[in-house]
This record gives sequence, C-alpha cells and structure tokens, in this order.
Amino acid sequence: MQFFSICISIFLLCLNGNIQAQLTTHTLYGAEAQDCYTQFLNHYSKQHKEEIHNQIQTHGSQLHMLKAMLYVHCMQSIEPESIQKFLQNYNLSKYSREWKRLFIYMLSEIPASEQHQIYKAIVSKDKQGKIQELEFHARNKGHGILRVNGMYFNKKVMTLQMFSYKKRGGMR
Amino acid sequence: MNHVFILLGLCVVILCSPGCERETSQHIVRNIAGKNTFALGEQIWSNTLLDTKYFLNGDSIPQAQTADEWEKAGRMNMPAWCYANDDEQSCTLYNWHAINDPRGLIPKGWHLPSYHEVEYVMKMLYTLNHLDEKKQNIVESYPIGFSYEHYYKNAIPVRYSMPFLYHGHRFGNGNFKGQGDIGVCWTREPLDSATKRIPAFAQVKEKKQLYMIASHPANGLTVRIIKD
Repeated sequence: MQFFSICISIFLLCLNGNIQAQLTTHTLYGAEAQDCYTQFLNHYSKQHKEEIHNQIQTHGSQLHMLKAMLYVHCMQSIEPESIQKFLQNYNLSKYSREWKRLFIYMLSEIPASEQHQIYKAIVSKDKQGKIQELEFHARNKGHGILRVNGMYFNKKVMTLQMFSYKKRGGMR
Repeated sequence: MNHVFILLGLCVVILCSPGCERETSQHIVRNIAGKNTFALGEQIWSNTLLDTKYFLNGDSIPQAQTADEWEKAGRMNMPAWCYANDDEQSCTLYNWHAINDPRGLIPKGWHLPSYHEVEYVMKMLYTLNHLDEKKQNIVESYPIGFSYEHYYKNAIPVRYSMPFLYHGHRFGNGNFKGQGDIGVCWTREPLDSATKRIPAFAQVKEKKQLYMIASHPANGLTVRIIKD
C-alpha cells in the first residue's frame, strides 16, 4: 500500500515538474510591470465582473457595506490572502474563493491616481501562449504580492499586450 | 386606552427621528473572541479597558493616590496608575512610563494598537459614513489624503462608529478632564524625540468620531487592546 502511494506521489511530482517545465516566464520591471498590472486589472474586471457578483452569496446593503470595507482593505494591500482575517471575522471563510476574486475586482476600482505602484511583474505562459500565472510585487513592500493562478481565471483566457516587451524582444 | 396610543405614538416618533434610525452596528461582530470582544474589519478589539495593577512579571505598578504623587511620577519618568476621577468604581488610567516599562502589562495574545491600526479603523468608518452622502459610490466615499483626520464633511450623521468608553483622562499636573465625555487611549508608538509626545487616539461621545492626538508621557490615559 505504502509502495503504491510512494509511486503515485513520484508520478504526481513528475507530472507537476512537466507542467512547470512547459511554462515560459517573463519578468517585467518598472513602467512595464505597472502597465501589465493596469492591463490585468482592466481585463479582469471586464471579464469577471458579472460572474464574481453572481457568485457572492451576500446581497443588498450588507454586501455594499462589506464591499466598502474591502475597498479600504485593498487600498493598503494587493494580496488576496491578506483578507483571510476579515473573512473569518464576518463568517465568510467558507466563500473565501469568491471574496478573494471580488477583492481583485475591487483593486480595479481604485482610481489611477491612487493605484498601487508595482515594481515587478512575473508572467507565466504555457506553450500556446496562454497566461497561466501572474505575480505582481508592490513597490511598497508592506502592500504585498498579488499572485493570480487558475483559481482566479476560472477557465477564462486572458491576453495582455506587452508592447515595450515586444519592441525590446530578446532582452529577457 | 388613550395613554397607550400616546405612548405608541411617542415610540414611533422616537424610532423615526433622524438620529435614531441611522445608527447601525452592522459593521461590528460582537463577542467574536470571547465575551466583551468585537471585530471591526480585520481587527478584533477588547471592548473593556485594561484593568491590571501588575506588570507581567508580577511586580506591582505603583498607584498614584494623590495629584502630587501623579505629578511626581510623571516628572521622575516613573510608571504609575490611578483611578479615573479618583473613583474606585471607574476605570484605570496609566501614564506612558507604565505602558513603556520593559516588564510589560499587556496580556499575552494581545497588543496595544499601532498608529497604522487605528488609521485603518478611521478610514473604514470615514468611508462607511460617507457612503450615503456620495450616493453609494464606494470610491468617492474613501477619504482623500488625510481628510479622515478631520470632522466629517457637512456634519453628516454618524451611522458607523467604534464602540467606546468615555472615562476622560488625567493631565500630568494631576487634573482630570472629560469624565463621561471623552475617551483617550494610548497607542504602542514610541515617544517622538522632537515633540516629546506619543500618538494616542480619542473619541468624543457627542461626535462619535475617532481621531488622533499627541499626548504627553505624564498624562493618564486608558488602554484598549487588539488581538494579535
């Protein structure tokens, strides 16, 4: 029994390694990273707005109040995991996936002049060029890191235009 | 029978009056980590004031029983506590030297709020209270710059506030002030070497709006704690 579970673990590790190996990673800094972040939030809010709001179980004035509180929270952090305590306090941990997606949506609501400053973005794509993972690092380290993976994309494909990256092709 | 109708009428008038209908505690989750605690956003606060006469190592904190003793403790940079308004039924006030003493007086698992943690609550309450005025627009309700440190615009009614206890405070010279009107609490911030003051937070009963002040270390303030 133990032998089989070890075999399965090894197989899964190999599979994972294989999947990881197929991803191409690009790292952007400064203005490019900021541009990538802005584009991501724009696309995400457009693509997922309806779905995110449909999946939230809270409604009416209670939802509006919690969204306002979430907005205050996302002004000080870009990290969806940072709302864990908030969700626990309001008995929403059961729906943490839905609320973390709403958190990213709320990030997109921040006006450009107040938006978080990003100094590094890491984009991972598969062989078909589809974005599988994104990582944004806030310039203010206290604001954390926004990591986006399949859980947040919910099978939707996202395309980001990285103009300057293409212009300076081959640099990274 | 007529009296019953008059009473019912009065109740309806009171319930429909502007001040009464607007206050809400939707944003507060009570007794979340035991009795007398409440959650606000991501934070969990104790709803009682700290009432210890001992440091964590068991040493007793000296009690200042007169105004002279209080004044002397402040002048000598010595820790001291006293009852608010010298009333044993009231709460305990501490000078900053007691708060800053390396022996510590905050129970394990809790801490004094930082400036940043109080600021978080101030911004949250500002946003919630301005939601109606801004016709439910969350982004516009969020404070611009440091506007959350001032009184709310257009004297908007305060719907969302922080539960507070108003026991006043004591000046370094031994005088009490604000019993029943104001609550003033220490933060865990260090002494500002330039101004020789420590940031503290306060709320006036009438306004129900949290704000920051700079307090002299010899002052006697209450202590409210946040869960780690």
